[in-house]
Amino acid sequence: MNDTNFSRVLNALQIGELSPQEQEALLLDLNSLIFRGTMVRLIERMDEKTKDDFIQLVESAADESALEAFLKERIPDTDASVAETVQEISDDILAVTGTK
Amino acid sequence: MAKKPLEGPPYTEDSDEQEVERGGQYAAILARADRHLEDPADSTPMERTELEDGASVRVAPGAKKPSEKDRRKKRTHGAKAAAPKEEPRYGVPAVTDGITETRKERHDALREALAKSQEQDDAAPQTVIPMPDQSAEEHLRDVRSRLDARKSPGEEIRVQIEAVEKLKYEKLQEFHKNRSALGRMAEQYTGEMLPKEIKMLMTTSEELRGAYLKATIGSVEERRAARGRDENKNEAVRERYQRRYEFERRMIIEPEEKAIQARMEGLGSREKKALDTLYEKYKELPAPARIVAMSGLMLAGGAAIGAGLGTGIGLTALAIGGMSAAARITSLYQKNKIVKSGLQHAAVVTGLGGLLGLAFEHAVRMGHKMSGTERKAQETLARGVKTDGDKTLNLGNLNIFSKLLADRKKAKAAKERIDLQARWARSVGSVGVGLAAGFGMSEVFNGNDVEQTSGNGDVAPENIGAGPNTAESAAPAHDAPPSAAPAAPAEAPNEAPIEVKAEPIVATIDAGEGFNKLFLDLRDSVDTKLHGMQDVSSSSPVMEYLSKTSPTELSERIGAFDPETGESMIMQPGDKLFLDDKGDLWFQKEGGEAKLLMENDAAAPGGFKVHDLADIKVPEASIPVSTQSPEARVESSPAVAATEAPLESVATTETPYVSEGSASVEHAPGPIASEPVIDRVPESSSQDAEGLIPRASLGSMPVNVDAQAPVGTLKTQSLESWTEDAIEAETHSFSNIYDVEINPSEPAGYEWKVPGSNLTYTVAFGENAAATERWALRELELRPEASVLINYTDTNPTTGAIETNVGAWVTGEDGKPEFVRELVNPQNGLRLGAANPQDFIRKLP
Repeated sequence: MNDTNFSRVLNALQIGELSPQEQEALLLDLNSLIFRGTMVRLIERMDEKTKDDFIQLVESAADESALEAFLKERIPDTDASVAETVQEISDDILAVTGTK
Repeated sequence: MAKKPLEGPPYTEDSDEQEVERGGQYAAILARADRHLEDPADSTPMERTELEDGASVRVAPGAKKPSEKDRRKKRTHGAKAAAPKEEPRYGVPAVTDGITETRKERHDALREALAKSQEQDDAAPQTVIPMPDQSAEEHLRDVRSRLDARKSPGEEIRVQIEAVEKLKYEKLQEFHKNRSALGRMAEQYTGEMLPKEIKMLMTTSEELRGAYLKATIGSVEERRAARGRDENKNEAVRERYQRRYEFERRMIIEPEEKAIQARMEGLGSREKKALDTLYEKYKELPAPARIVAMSGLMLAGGAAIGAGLGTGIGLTALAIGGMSAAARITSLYQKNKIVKSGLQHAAVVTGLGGLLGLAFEHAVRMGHKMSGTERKAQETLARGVKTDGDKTLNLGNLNIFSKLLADRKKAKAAKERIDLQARWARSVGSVGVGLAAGFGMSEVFNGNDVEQTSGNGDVAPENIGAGPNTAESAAPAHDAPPSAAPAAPAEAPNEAPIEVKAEPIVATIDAGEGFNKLFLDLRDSVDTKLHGMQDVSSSSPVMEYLSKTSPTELSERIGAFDPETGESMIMQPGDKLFLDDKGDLWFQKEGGEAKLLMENDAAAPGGFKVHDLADIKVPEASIPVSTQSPEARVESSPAVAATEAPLESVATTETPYVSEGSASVEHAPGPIASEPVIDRVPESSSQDAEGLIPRASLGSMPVNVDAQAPVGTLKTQSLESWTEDAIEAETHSFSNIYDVEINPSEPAGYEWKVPGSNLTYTVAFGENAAATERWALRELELRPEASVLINYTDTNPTTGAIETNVGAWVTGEDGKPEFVRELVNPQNGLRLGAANPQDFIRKLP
């Protein structure tokens, strides 16, 4: 259990050796990648009607809770899209750093 | 390079590459070689000679200037072209010492001289080439640095990476553009079907980037092996790590960004715009929220744990949500052992403790904002979004939203525990120490069993923070500023197994002290243990309860104090309370048998059971008689218990002392009030709550009763108004600018002068909000016409921000206490801000 995906990725990045500022920047970069990667995947998996509704929801400045509710309602298994994104990024990091 | 001085192409001005060749082979190396060949001992400076094409070379004094023909011949034939035997090389005499007659011999001599030159250069590079011309010297230096740069193996790989990445991006773009909408939708079931060519490119890219990492920084194993060998090595390693972030940015983040960019090429312009809008908004979230959410995603989203946990966390919420997601993962940390140990392990073994600790502490605070976002979300969903045709879209199933809301309420319910965790984490300087310490502290409140270290020296997650080898060694001074937070050393937990001791935390009573003092001492004892990060092997909801509940309330809970009568249990010197290694609370009379008072029990409400003193058969004479059934007390959760503070209870902070050696109850206690205060407060004051309500009890001060505010929120207010400042001021009395002595640990009444006016009000102030409220209510009982103000915190429904306001306990028209919020300054019509202790002009008797 100790060796989680999270700790393996952090170890691969040798994140403990970076300065706190670099740690934060790197984690935020990863966070942005996951967010954007997930949202692209989710939009890709919407039908046209859902897509239109989603865009209007975004344009209405809906907050995270409304977005979450919408996505959960209208797209089957949204969590899979997130998991795919996370896995893809993790795999890439582990492969490049030779820790896969 | 130095061994092939005559084989370079001639100079042309239009490329760096050629300039390097020219500089390296014509000017520097050749000049040195010529000089040495001519007379190795002679350091006579060369003369600069202009060539026909504008280039210049240095020749030995008296040597023949090279003709264009010579140079062309060199260009044409290169190294293999035979030069006329009789014709000397420019700058190189044909015969110097009678030995170098043939070209081959000259060539050999040249090589030898170059080797010598190079040796001299290495030994004293600054003196090798005496250059009369400063600009030329600078030029040479520049050339040499460029040559050195070219020697870097990483550069060659980098060029290849760029080529592969460019191709990969183009192919991905093409692929995503050509995917059909149907195909994309189907991928959620089939997975993404990338063409073989792209997969190959991806693999190649990974391999090349890995090779680049090895070439430039070294492999992970090498880095680990190199770490800590000696100072010089460490310096070298440190230098490499300085490049580490750059590598990660350029070789991991950027390619991933490109891949997402390529993916976006498959979307329409409106979709892209919506994504950009979302992303811009998302970037505005506080960094800690994003870091906490990311941690949860990485922990749950990977294959190592599996989908089950991911579902539990709500990956989508984590991915798109900020504050609520952060609160959710923090809450889950409290409840889910997998999440807990995963985060702890990651934080400690990767050396990310400082940052994660900081992020989680922020996340704790951000939990407060949830209610604001929930309300807004509910409104959005309820009203839907109007389309251009004025048709309202059904944006989501409200049932689903309700379910989400319920999840968040659970998270919010855990907020009290989280607050406590943050408080303890702060108190041991977890900002500086990092997550190891913060989580270590929180362990005390989470009821986990302590596990021994594993045989290989790895720290079992549950042990983190429990031993002297973790946070203590890295702990900086308390109150270290967040910006100065160092990362916890990655190696620390692996260096030595942590010995887990099971030494109980004990508080023993002295003459003149009561149960309340015992509880305070016990708390101090825990504080001491935690501050030192030593020997704290216990962890329990019991300790959580002990730390957040007033001593009076604790005494009351175990049946040692009767608020109705003010009676308290007789104590003897030597009586003691202690916490065992499981975090259970015991009471032991001097010389008697230890009795279990509070016992951790996951199945019980609040995670623990309370054994009334009456149940544990302490000698009868020493306990008060209670009319409340012990079962009722045992079953009530801590939160409920806090709400049940009876109105008429007189909250004193000191239990009456009973003389040493006596073992009797001073008075037969009356019945304990079982009716909670919440029942005595009117259900709602909304009927008369619109606008400003003048109240005689408030003098000329008009008040605005919040019609929406639930009146029966005594408990909620109590907890929420436990402000950070009050926590910090705990046990520390101080004098304010009016020389008024204020002891936050003892609720008291003060006369508050509103800044900038001559208005004064009675304010109840104390660090324990529940006790302060009791003080206010007692005052109200004594003087029903009075209004007693207290500070409380609330969440702004619009902004979601936490606000501290001042409210007033007054006697309502039905004669019952009523809490009035949002008081208004009658002199200027503005809302009154919180009562600042610095503005208290006197302490009320």
